[in-house]
Amino acid sequence: MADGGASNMILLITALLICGAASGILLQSWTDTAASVGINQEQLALDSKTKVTFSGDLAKITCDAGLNQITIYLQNSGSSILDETEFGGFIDGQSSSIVGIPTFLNGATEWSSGVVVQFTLQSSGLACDGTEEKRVTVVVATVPSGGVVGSDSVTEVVKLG
Amino acid sequence: MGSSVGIGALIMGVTLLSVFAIATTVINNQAEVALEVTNPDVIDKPILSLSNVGNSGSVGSLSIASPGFGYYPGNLVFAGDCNQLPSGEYTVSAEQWQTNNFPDDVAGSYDGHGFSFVELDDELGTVSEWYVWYSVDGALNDPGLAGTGIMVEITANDLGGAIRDSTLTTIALQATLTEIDFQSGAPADTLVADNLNTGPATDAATTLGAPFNIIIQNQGGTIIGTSLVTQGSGCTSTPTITITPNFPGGATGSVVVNNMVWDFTFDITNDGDTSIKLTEIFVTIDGGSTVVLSSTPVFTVEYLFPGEKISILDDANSATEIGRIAISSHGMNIAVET
Repeated sequence: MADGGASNMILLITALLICGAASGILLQSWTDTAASVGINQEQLALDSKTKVTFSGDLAKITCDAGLNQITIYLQNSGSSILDETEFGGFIDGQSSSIVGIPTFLNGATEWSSGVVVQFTLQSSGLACDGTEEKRVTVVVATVPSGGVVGSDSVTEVVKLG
Repeated sequence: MGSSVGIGALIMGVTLLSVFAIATTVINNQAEVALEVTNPDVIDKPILSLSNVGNSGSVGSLSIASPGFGYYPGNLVFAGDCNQLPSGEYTVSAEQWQTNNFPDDVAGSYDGHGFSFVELDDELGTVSEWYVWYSVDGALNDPGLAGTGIMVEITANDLGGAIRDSTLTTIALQATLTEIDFQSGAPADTLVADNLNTGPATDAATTLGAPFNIIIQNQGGTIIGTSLVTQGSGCTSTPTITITPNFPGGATGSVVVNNMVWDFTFDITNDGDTSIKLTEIFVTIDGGSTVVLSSTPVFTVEYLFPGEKISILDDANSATEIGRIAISSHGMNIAVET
C-alpha cells in the first residue's frame, strides 16, 4: 500500500507538471498567434483605408520632351494619411525617377484625405507629341500607424500632351 | 490524490478558458477587419458632369489699323455678342504749320500779300477763317481773302525778323483768335502755328507771289490714340469697332481690337448620390497646371450636393480662348472640348 501510494503520487505529480507545461506552451502559442493575426488585421484594415487616384487631365498630361519628364497629379481618396516621400512611379512598366520635391496643391502641408500632390516623373524616350499613350502606375504608402504601413497602387493610361 | 486531480483539472480549465478568451478576441478582431475591408473607409468616385463650357471675353487693348484723315475726336462704338459691350474713345492730331524764313521787304514786296489759315474754335466742327495781309507804307492793298482779315503794317525794306515780329504782335491783338498758338521759330525768322484743338483744318496758304511760303503742314485729324473706357464683359467673340467722330467727317480710319482677355465659364452638376467637397475638385484647362476648383466670385458654400449645379467663372484673363477643360475628383476624370 505504501509502495502503491508513492507511485501514485509520482504519477500525479508528473501529470501535473506535464499539464502545467502543456498549458504554458498552449497559452504562449495562442498569444503569439493572436499577436500575429492582430498585426495582419491592422495591415488589412489600413490597406482598406488607403486609396490613391489620378487627378488632372488624363488626355493632356503635361510633358517635356527635352527633359523626358511628365507631371502627374494624385489625390488621396482614402482616409489615411499618405507619405509623399514613399512613392513609386512606373511608365509602361519601367521604373521612373521622381524629379524634385512633390508639391501639395491648394496650400496643403500633408497628404491627407482629398489633397492632391503634384509629382514629376522622369523616363526616357518621351515624344510628347499629343498622341503618345502611356500606362502610368503609381504606388503609394501611408505614414506608419500602429507599426504598420498601408499601401495602394493605381494604373491609368494617359495621353502625353 | 483527490486534491491533485482537482488541481490538475483546475489548471486545464483555466488554460482552456484563457485560450478560449484569446480565440474569441482574435475572431472578433477578424470580424471587425472583415467588415472594414468589405466596406472600406475610402472616398467613392463621384459622378459629376460638365456643361455649358464657354469663353467670356473682354477687350484687352486696341490698336490703330489705319490712322485715316479728316477726323474729329470721338467715340469708338463696339458691336458684338457681349453681355456688356466695351466702350472707348479716340484722339486725333492737331493741325500744325510753319512758314519759311521771312525775307526782308524789298521796295514793298510784301504789300498786298499775306497768308490764310483756319482756326478750330472747338472740336465739334466750328471753325473760323482768317487771313493776314501786309500793308507797306499804308498802301492798304487788302487781298480780300475769305475770312477775317488781319492787317500788318510794315515799312518798305523792313528786315524779315521785324516783319515776322510785327505779324506775331498784330495777331496777338485779335481777341477772338485764341485757339491757335502762334510762336516765332527760333533761331530763324519763321512763324509756327499750333491749333490748340484737335481735328482737321484747311491747310494754311500764302497768296500767290508772296515773299514767303508755308513749308511745314502737319495734318490734323489723323487718329493718333485710343483708350478703352470699359473693357466690356461676356463677349463670345471679338467685337468690331466703328469710329464715331463728334462731328461728321473723316475717312479710311480703322481701329481694331488688339487682343482679348478670355475668362472661362462652365457648369458642374453633381449627378451622384453623395455630396462632394468643392475643394476636392480639381480643374485643368488646356492641359495646363491642375488647380483646385475656384470661381469668381468665390464660393460661399463648401459642398456640391446631389442634383446641384454650380456655374463657374474662371477669371483667367487668358490671351487665348478655351479649348479643353477637364475636372477630376477622387478618380473621376471628365473633360469637354469646345
